[in-house]
Amino acid sequence: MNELDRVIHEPARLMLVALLTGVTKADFRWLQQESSLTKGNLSSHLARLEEAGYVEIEKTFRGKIPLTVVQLTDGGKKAFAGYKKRMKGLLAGS
Amino acid sequence: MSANLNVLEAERRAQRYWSVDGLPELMMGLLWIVWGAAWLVGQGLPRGSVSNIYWTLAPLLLVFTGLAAVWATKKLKARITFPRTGYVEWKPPSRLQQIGGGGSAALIAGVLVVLLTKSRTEGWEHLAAPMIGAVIAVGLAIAAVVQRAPHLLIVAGASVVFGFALGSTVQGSDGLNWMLVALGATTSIVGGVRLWRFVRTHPFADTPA
Repeated sequence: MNELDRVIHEPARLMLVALLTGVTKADFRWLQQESSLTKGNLSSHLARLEEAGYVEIEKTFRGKIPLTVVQLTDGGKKAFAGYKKRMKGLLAGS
Repeated sequence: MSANLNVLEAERRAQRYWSVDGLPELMMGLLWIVWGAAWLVGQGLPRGSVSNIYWTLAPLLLVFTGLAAVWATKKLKARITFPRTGYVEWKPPSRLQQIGGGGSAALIAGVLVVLLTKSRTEGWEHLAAPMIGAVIAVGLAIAAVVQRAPHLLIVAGASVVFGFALGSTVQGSDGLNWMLVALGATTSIVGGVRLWRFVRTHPFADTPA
């Protein structure tokens, strides 16, 4: 268990990283809808992922409406692939 | 958030988001109507220079309307879907997916051409509509399973029904063209109903995203 990436291992963050794996970019609203997290929770989990260098958060505008766009970084993609591999190994060994 | 986290399912969620609003079905249906109608108009023209020009331009019409439908779907999603349920930029298809998609399209086109040519030369033109209806139905059934979109099974069923019904009642290849128009109308209705339900259940959100 010690070798698991604790940033990704948390269920909400694992869900966010898995959702972002399927897209190039997605906005805050789509992530909130698909993860069913509250705005506050989503913000804090995204901040944690950004801190770890797993996502890039871009604040922009669509017309006059603020738009927060999130993208998985190469580091995030590698970390997620590594996490899945590690989990498969653990499950296969159990 | 659900306690039962399915990572694989979450990874595929974006793929299903493409057809969440009914817009792709609506546009695909309109495209089929245009294609079927274009062929019906062409076959109704008296043989001569006008007919020759028409059939030279017809393939361009198919390509142009296909590209226009993709462009219009994206524009409509930006106006209708993204402000309601969020913006997503889909991944461009990988090289392998492009090759697979292109290969499948070429294979289907090849099968259709062989079926159409054989049906003319061997005098079983009336079988073209049911056979092509069945090919389209198989494609739609596969798409329904892959995209987890059960509504596509309705369109697949309609394809079989229209293929057999119009193939047995309408003369020559007109049966196939009318099948395309009828199938397009059905697909558009399915897409329209899904779009109406999507707009009703997802009010426009003007808060920051």
